[in-house]
Amino acid sequence: MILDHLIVQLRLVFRILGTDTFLAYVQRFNVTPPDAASGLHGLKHAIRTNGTRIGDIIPLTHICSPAHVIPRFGRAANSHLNSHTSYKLSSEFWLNKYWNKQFYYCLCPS
Amino acid sequence: MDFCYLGQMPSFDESALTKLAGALQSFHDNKEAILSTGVCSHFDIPKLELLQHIVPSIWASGAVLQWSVDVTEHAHVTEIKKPARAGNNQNYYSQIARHLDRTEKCTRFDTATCILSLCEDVGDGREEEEDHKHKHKHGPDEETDNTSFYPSPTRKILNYFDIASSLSNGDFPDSLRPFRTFTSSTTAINLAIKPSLSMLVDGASELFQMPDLHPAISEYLYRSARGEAHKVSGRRQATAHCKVPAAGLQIWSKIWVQQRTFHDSGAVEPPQTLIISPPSQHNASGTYNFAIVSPTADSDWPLNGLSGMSSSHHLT
Repeated sequence: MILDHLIVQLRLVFRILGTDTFLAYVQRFNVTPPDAASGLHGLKHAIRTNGTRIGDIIPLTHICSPAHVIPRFGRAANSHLNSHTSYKLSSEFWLNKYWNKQFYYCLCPS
Repeated sequence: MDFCYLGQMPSFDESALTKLAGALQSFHDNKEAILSTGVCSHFDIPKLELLQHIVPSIWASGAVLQWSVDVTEHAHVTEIKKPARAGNNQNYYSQIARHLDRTEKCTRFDTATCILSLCEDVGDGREEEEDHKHKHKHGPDEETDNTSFYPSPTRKILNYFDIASSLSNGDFPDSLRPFRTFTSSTTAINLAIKPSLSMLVDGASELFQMPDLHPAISEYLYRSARGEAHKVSGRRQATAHCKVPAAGLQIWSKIWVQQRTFHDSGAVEPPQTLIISPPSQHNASGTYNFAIVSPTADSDWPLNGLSGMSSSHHLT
């Protein structure tokens, strides 16, 4: 069985009082095939037909690994981007497999 | 880039070597493009000459650590940076050279006096007492010298896997429940004892700007009750069936995530911090880090990489 791993953005880590499971609210990305030049997967927020981002709650133990992404500017970069707003203002990203060696080996098993 | 990362694997098999050779080939196939843009005029670089020897060398004698530059890079610290700091930030070259000269002379002097005192020790019993003074005087010097020439750069890495297993074995019966450190099949997760925030669902929904938090929680409870996988599909089938308990939420804005090393499952990587913090005075848009998650509790990560990663749209 192939398990589908997902790239998500964590939005909330919490526990409902009176329960024993730690939970995370995550928003998922749709993944496009690797770019020919950079070899990186493209990421785009998965959205509903009404334009809101698709998010759900999962147990915290389902997290496998942190992920590193780079905003994908397109033809012209948004001039309001800075280190605080880049994740909020961008809707498309590259999945940076060159983040560190461990991440690279995991994403490109030989 | 591929070549650099692949080349640093601690162990190789045939397919890894084929990939390594392929990565180098793709550089040679495309290097004309770099020349044509005029970034640099030639590729007569000694380091590049080295690259072509790596694959044959591994075939011949196995993975070799000699391709590591850590040792020579570290020499830069002991031979250049430390002497530079000892000076007064002027005439670097002459000061560094002089510092190294003097350090060497001191070391030789220490060695010589040490040998001398040992010889005297053997040759003449009467001077024993004086030797002790010598030794006492020079002992600490030698020690500091040794440590400065052979520094150990390793830092202790906390192993959350070990902590979690001793917690669940009941080694610490007094620890707070549910345990703040726990593991899945692939990953260890650690949370602070105290949550960063405590509030009701509606408050969290507003603070974190997530209007659908309430339905998402009831959907989660619905799915867990039926034992369904958590696919993050955004489907909402539960609204009518399940009611969210009117309890408060404990919220953490930081978690630490640790994985086992890819090539050695007995070793662990340093933990990484994931930040999930709401908009604040300092950061108006909040910080929400990214992660790779599995839809089920048992994940085969990272054996299959992203293969089979679903790219289909689940629209509701």
